[in-house]
Amino acid sequence: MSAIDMSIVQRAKRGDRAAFAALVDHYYARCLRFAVHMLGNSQDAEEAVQDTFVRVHGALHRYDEFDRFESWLFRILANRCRTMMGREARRSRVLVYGDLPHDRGTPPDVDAIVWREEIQTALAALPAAQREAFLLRHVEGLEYEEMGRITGAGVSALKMRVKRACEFLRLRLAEVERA
Amino acid sequence: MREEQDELIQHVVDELKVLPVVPVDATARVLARVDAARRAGTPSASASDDDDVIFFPTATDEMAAQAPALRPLPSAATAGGSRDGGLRRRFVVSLPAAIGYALAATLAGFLIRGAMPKDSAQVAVAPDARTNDTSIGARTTVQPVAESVDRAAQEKPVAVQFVLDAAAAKRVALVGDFNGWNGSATPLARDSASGAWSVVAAVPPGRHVYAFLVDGKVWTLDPRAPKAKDSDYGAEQSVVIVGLP
Repeated sequence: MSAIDMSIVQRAKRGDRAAFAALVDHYYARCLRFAVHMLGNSQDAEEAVQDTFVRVHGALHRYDEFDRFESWLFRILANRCRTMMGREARRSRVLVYGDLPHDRGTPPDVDAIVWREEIQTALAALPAAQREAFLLRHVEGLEYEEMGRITGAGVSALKMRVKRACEFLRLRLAEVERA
Repeated sequence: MREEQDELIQHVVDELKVLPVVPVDATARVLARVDAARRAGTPSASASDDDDVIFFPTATDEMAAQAPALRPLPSAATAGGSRDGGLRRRFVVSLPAAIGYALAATLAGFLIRGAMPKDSAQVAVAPDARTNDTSIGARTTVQPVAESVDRAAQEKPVAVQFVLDAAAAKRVALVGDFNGWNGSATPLARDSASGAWSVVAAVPPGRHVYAFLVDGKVWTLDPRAPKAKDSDYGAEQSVVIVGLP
């Protein structure tokens, strides 16, 4: 997904409601994807994303346009996910992925379902900081410097988290893929 | 450090990149919440990440997962059972408020470790006899759940009493990161004699931000606690530090 036209962000910053709505439209799916993978629960993910955009609206006047909008947005989203993870940790550890809607035209086959569930289970088993770093780097495609601004962690620490996440996923999923 | 990206990981990434379907009313719900926050006069957000010093706790995720859940206390209303962020919470401290936090942490440490006389921990719910005082003011006291404060005990929620002198208020709720900012999770009870509102809430150890919501719409700080800016909410909030030495 391309970065949003900065004029839309500028208009939203000036209070243009339609521009803010366009901004939400543009980023909602990506934010929801990140939140679902972080929280493992589509309902909590929805709540986190909704909260994020409400907060983005209230904080737009503080947004520094030298900062990439995506980085700033994901910083707020990552904060919300961290906050909600504390809540989630006290609830059932059962993962709720069955209701994760996928934008696919044809029904997936059983193998695809099993593969997806294995990925999601492995992802959920990662330590949160590694999961966050892996998703930001490989799924959201962010640079390490941006990830540092989002998470507050140093570049070398983030690289280590991504590396360990990859090692863990590889170990966990290699057997499944061979099967 | 070599970037890990082999065929297996690429398959995983491809799967994870599939975008979920966005509910058709998603944007409308965001706009409705923005409007509601504006009407209520509550802060929707004003993230202040840029001018905050950010600390990451070193605790592991496993420790966070094992952290005990909040348990309702037998008396009064209790926190709604939310420990936002737990040990993984991003601790955000504004530099100008750092001195205040340090003082509050020291005081909380004394109280929780029992350095203060034990009787002082038993704080009456009702404040003084300023029955006709309609001004809004609060005091917060910290009371240890267990007398023996060892390492394990420091992980347990601590009973914290929140008091707000607001005789004219019709209802008061405690909202904070420890109850998910839920305006209905932790209502305060009114003392008919003094007009003060109070609640004892179970709060996990750590730094927490909070405020009072008076009559469902008036965002009220605790005047006796340090103020903070939080990266999630941004608006002025009060700080309580629980269980930190």
